[in-house]
Amino acid sequence: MQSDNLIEVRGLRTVLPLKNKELAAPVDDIDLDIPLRKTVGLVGESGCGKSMTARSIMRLLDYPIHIQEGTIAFRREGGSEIDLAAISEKEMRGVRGREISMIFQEPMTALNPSITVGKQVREAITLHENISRSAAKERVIKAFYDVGIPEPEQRYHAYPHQLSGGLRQRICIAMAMVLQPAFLIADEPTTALDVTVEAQILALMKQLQQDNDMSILLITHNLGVVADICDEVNVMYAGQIVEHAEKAELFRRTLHPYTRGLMKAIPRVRGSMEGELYTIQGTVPSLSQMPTACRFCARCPYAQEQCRNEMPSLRDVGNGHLVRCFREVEP
Amino acid sequence: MSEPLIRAEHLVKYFKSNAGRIKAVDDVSFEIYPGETLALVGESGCGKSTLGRLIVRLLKADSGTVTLNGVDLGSLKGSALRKARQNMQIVFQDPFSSLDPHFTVGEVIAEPLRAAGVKKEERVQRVQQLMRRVGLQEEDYWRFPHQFSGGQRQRIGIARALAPEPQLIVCDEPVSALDVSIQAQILNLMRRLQAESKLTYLFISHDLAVVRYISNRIVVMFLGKLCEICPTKDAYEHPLHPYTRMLIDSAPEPDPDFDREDRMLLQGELPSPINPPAGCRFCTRCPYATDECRTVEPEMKDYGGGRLCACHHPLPQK
Repeated sequence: MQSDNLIEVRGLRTVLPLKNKELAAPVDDIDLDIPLRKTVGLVGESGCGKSMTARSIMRLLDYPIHIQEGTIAFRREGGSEIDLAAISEKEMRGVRGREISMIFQEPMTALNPSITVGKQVREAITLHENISRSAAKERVIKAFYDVGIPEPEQRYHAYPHQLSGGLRQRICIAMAMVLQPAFLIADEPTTALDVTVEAQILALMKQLQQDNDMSILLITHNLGVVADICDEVNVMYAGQIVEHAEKAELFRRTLHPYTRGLMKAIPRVRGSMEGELYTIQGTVPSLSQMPTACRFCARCPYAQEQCRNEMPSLRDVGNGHLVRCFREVEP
Repeated sequence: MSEPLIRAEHLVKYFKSNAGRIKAVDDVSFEIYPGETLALVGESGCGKSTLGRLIVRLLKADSGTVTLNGVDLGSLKGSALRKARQNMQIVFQDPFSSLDPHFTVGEVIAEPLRAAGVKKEERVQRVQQLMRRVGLQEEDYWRFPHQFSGGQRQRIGIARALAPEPQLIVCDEPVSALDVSIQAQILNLMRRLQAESKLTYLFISHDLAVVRYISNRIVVMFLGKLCEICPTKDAYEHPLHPYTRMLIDSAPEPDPDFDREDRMLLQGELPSPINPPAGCRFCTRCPYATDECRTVEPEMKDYGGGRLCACHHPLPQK
């Protein structure tokens, strides 16, 4: 494991059995590095496997979905390394929530509607630490304060339905942050929120990361969010990573035809608004009929004979820029 | 300008709740002109969907009037109202819950025609024509909505709205549930259909980038009141109302070199629509608020060039 990485995923393949007993791989041969104190973006459209990748790292897969191959090396607090894909569920329970935690897209369904938010966050502490109830409560209120919840003492006794979407997401962030994990997975944390609240939550995440020396894996479909807070970006398509680069490099030198298509398809708040929007033709191949060649070739304007016969590998084209495409690129 | 297609005057809609009356739409007036796309923007809970439903009279206003081609919709009953409604259709946000799962696609699209009394043979023909126009295959006629992806379902919803050949289509967040590549397909389709059929859209959205792409004029709503009405270009380049500016500045920009420090961002959240702040409803979140704002409600003023704004301290214009 490289010394500046917190997580190194190698050859991760997560499978689920289909009706005909064959295995489909919504996550296929994923290599992913999460450097210390960095925010890494995982971008793609619905069904591309980005959430499944996160859930594999968290070991939150619903049976019969399981990890078939690969390793997930994680550097623990003391410096020792463990493979999250291999440890027992019991060991994983000591890591999950404490050293790695996660926030979800829909803050209403992520919280229990019949327990006050204060008690829910307190549970996260008492599950991992032997601590008195009043001391735990104090830490919860401090955590509420840190994530910018107004009047934290009163909010402690509130039920989720009494709070707005933005406040609920702040509660979820407080719950994820209260044990000061080294690694936070944020799965579309702002998708269900208004743009005005989204900007506030993103600013909060940036600030928390700096204060806590934390690494973040941010899953999103929104390239605007990526441009705002990520350091590195991975683009996923049909279960594979098709492009990886530092943020500035990716936006300046977009190489994969799919990433290019995504960038051209978004209407912009600033800049030109003339003409038709670019569209990516066709649809994502289904899990049961995944081509053995390039998975994007049926939708790609540059597809050639080779693309229809062989699977391109993720190759380095300089500047730490990786792309899964046969096309020649200028350096 | 030509005569408006829709004229809404002093619309009011309150909802009862245990905690009190929710002032969803509170004295709102505006016009929609034939052939234009008017965007209605605001945060969730500001009353924009309620306003959309008032316009097509899926909801009845507590007071105020909506006229369609000069006819007061509130005065219509029975078959006259049904007739008027054929002229105003709606496309919903969620293409999963807005299509009846027991109907085939053909039946979904034919339903408004059946309601209008169109004969069966003609119905089938017109449905097939509509399906071609929105990019569905002919054999999709006998398939069920659950067999389609989100984008395809939204095409079905659009075909259904087009069926009675309406003048106005209210689009309530039609692309919010879709992926970006699919969103682009649907937006292009909507633009093309508008050009072909001289449609008028009331486009309700919280996505400022989509609104900029699709609309000619924009109405900004905050907590049941209108803040600003203006041509889309003006709203993005030199807005009058501070809320308009802040809403646009919050939109994430897919460009890492974009200067994020220069933005004006909103603090806090939407106040309660049950007890909205006195004076200007935006005053609790506005950096320019003065005592006047906290006591006197600003009126909609005309700034020329089709620009209206309700603010005591509009932003300086270059």
